Amino acid sequence: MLAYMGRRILGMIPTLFIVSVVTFIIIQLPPGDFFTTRAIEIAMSGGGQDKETVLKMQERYGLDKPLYVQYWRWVSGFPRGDFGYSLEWNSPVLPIVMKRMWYTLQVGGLSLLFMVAVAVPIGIYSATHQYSFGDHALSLIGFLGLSLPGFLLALLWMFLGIIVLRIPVGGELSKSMADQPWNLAKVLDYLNHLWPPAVILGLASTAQLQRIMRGNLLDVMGQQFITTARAKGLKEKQVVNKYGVRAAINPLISVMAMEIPKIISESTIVGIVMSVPTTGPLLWRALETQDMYLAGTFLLFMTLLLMVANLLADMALAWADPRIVYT
Amino acid sequence: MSDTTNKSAELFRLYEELSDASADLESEESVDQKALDAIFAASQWQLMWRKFKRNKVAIVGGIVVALYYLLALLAGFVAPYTLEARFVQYIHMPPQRIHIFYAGKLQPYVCDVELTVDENLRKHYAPNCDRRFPLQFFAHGESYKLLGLIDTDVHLFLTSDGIVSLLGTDRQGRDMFSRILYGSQVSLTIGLLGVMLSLILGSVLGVVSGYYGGWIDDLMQRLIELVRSFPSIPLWMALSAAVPPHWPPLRTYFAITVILSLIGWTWLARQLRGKVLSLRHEDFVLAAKMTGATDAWVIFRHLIPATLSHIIVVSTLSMPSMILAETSLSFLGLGLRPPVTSWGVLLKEVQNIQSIALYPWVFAPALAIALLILAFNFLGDGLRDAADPYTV
Amino acid sequence: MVATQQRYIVQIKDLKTHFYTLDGVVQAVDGVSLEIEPGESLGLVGESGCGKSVTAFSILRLLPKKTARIVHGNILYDRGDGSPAVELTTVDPNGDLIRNIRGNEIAMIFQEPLTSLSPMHTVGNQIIEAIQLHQGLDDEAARQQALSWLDRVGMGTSGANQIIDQYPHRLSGGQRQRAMIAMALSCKPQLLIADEPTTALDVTIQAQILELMKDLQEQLGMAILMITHNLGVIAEMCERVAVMYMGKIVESGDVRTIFRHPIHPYTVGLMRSIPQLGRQVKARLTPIPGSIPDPYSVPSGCAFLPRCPVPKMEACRQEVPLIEVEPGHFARCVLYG
Repeated sequence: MLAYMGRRILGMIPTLFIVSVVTFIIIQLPPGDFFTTRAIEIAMSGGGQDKETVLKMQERYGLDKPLYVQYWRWVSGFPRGDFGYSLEWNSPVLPIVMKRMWYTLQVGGLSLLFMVAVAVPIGIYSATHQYSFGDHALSLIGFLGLSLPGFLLALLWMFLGIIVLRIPVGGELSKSMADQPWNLAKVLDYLNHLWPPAVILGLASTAQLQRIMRGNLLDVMGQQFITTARAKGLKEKQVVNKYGVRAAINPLISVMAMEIPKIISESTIVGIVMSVPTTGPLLWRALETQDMYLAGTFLLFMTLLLMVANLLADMALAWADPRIVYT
Repeated sequence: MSDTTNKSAELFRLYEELSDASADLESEESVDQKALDAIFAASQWQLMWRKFKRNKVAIVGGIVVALYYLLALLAGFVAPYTLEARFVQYIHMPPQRIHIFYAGKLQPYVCDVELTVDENLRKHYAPNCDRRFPLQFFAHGESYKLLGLIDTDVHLFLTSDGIVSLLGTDRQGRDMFSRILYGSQVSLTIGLLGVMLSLILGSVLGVVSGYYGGWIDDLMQRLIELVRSFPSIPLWMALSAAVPPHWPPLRTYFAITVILSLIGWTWLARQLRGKVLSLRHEDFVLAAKMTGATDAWVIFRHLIPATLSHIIVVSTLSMPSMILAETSLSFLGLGLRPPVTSWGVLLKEVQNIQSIALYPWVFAPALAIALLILAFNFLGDGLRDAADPYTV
Repeated sequence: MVATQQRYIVQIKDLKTHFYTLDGVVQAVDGVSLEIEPGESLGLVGESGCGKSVTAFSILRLLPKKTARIVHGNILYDRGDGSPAVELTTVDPNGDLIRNIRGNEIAMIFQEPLTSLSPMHTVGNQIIEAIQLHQGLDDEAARQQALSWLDRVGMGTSGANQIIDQYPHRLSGGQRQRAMIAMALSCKPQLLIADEPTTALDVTIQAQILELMKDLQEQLGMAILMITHNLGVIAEMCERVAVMYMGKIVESGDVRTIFRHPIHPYTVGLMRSIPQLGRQVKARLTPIPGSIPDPYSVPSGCAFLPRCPVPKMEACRQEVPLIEVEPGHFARCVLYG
């Protein structure tokens, strides 16, 4: 198992290398660079900046050098933990990215928890009450959840919070809390801002998971070992919970693993709409201003996150299913 | 005792005779067999259709999807106004009610509205049914190109005076109903085009990968893994940001389509590869190879048709995400930009929460999207069930 | 012949179990009467789909809830403790009574040893569960008992210790079926229903498993209802046999009589389709012509009529009763009316 993990982690390195090259090319694609974009922005807001300054700045940050030199400057810093310098924030990229990644992880993790906590019981209910009113109603709600994109849900939630409920929504913390030291009230406020994006992100995946759980359990309940369990004299509830759910939940791990990229992906847009500090808002800004190291590092780290999530999912599957053995 | 023994022996003898005469029997049986064969020979498509028909929800989904595309096709005709027609005197007007009967006669009309501005400078429109605008059907209005070809100015319905606005107007006094219809042309075709591009890439690469196996397959799998290791929306964002803002609308449109299909094809390729891997050793493929068919012949004449039902299901299922991706990107201002108008572009204007509160009807494109995606999901789900031969 | 007061463990009277599906009603069991005596082995034989498994599932009330219904008849079960017989057709299929009977007094083993054990739980877990459920032993005592049962089904002491913590996929087919038998017998049932217990196994393993079942039957004094399509298994294991066709018993009697001179045309057909010692070498092995009729629309009267080699008679169109042709030997055929 450890050997398998080791090999998987080693295998990530070449992929990450290619990813870094592709990322670098992508962030270099837009015409111009940070300084020309900045110059245009300043010009549009009525200010002026002469060509000289732009050229000087470009020279200072090496933006006038050939692409491969720039790429090398970026990549060679990786082992030292140097992922470049954000020109817009006047700070090394890494702490900015890490802070946002950490928040994304929290939202994503919470969203996964929500997904499992909601989808599995619903799936079990639907399967054990197949074709009942409840089953049909839950399936319909599930389909609705699948059909509403995250940003619309986020928009609806903001609307509901601001206009109807008149409660503060969006952001990382309430304005009044932002400057206070950490105490219980602040933690609660923090959590209060954390769950809405998590739930919104989780909804579509929940719907998907619920459908798959229902199907799996229905499949499993038709299998022979379920009859064996019944013939033993177990209560139907015990049969479903011990044998049915146990076997039906396994494939769910792979499905969840497939939902993680969607959650991470969606978190960018939901983050932007709800102005919560996921990677989204900053990545968006960085792309607009062509703050290329920041944008590139964001992409790189999100890709890394997905790879790690995939690995963890495979591990979880091996742990959960006695039939799978990695060597 | 001896009686039953004799009976038993007699029965054995009867069977003996029967098997001697089995030749006759077979010919008799073949009649039944023919009837059975007819069932088994019902083509895969007939079986699919038979099963699909039973799923009422999927049928409804299919009809809704078809209606959307029909409306998009005839947008110019159904929409009373063109995309940019402005009614400065009717800014942010709420949806109008259509009155069907007037004085007991079938005479649909809409009422004019009275504008008042309160102390907070908020506009209020109140219907004023003293001034009525009867609806005229197949009336002449602004000219447009029907189906993009025929110059005409006939609209499904219009009023001779004032405005008819089923879904209200936006901040520039443009009719939301007309704009959503025109927006659907872009949103629906970008989904279709995107899926088609993914389809071409995905099916060719997937089938080739599954058919040849070996290092080609390995290479393809690594490539797919690489593409899939990127988070899709951030990647789309980064790529769309690279589309120069000064590009003409059509080129932007195609660029966004290409960007969207860059990730979509991997899923399709994976699915098809699996399918082809299992088909590769089927008799009909071996037979074709044995008779000297070229690889291209086998792929295009046998493998792709054999996986066609699968392709259709997979592409229907990937339509929603394609449409949503465009909408999301345009909503962020990274996808399409005005003057190209898609649903995402329409929604970009309601990013401001206050505007949803004051003028909820500008949120209408969201409903249009949700309904379409729902319909697509139902349709795709039904098709998937129908195409799966192992379930009843 | 004078009828003696005979105790039956299970007495099935005119049982009818129907399946209600979207495509129509299937009369899977259509008037079956059977008696199982203590300690005996009764074989129930027939082609797949003839209703033999449904009969067994009806006894334990393990039929699919949505589609199957017992529409007629009785199943009387004698718990062997002097209490009056239980009417199984009317008990709550999820109730305490039937669940105390299942696994404890009547146990069942199945055809596919791979799929009849949960792949997600160790063998020991599944056996111990059955023991604890019905005997209320603590973990350690239950484990010891599971080990001794694994030993008894021929795993050996060291084998038992090894296998008890294994997942079923690590076991061979024969081992799995042994484990299944250990689980089924762990509460010393008075009746074991074996639904095609050896069909999925290699021939050599088959013989071992049958041998094991016979030994254990003798040791425990339990009755076995052996459901199979394999006449060889019946000959090996059973004293009495009932042949089923399309939901009805068409012939029953003791094994020797029926193997010597079967008198129902269907049974004769079955016998002809297996190789037999002592038959003429030139005798061909031939299947019964035709195939079983559409279960959704069974013709009235004798269901075997379309395939019967005997010249057709008008009486075949009517319902044919089961006739005692000679003492203890029954057949459902107009030839004996």
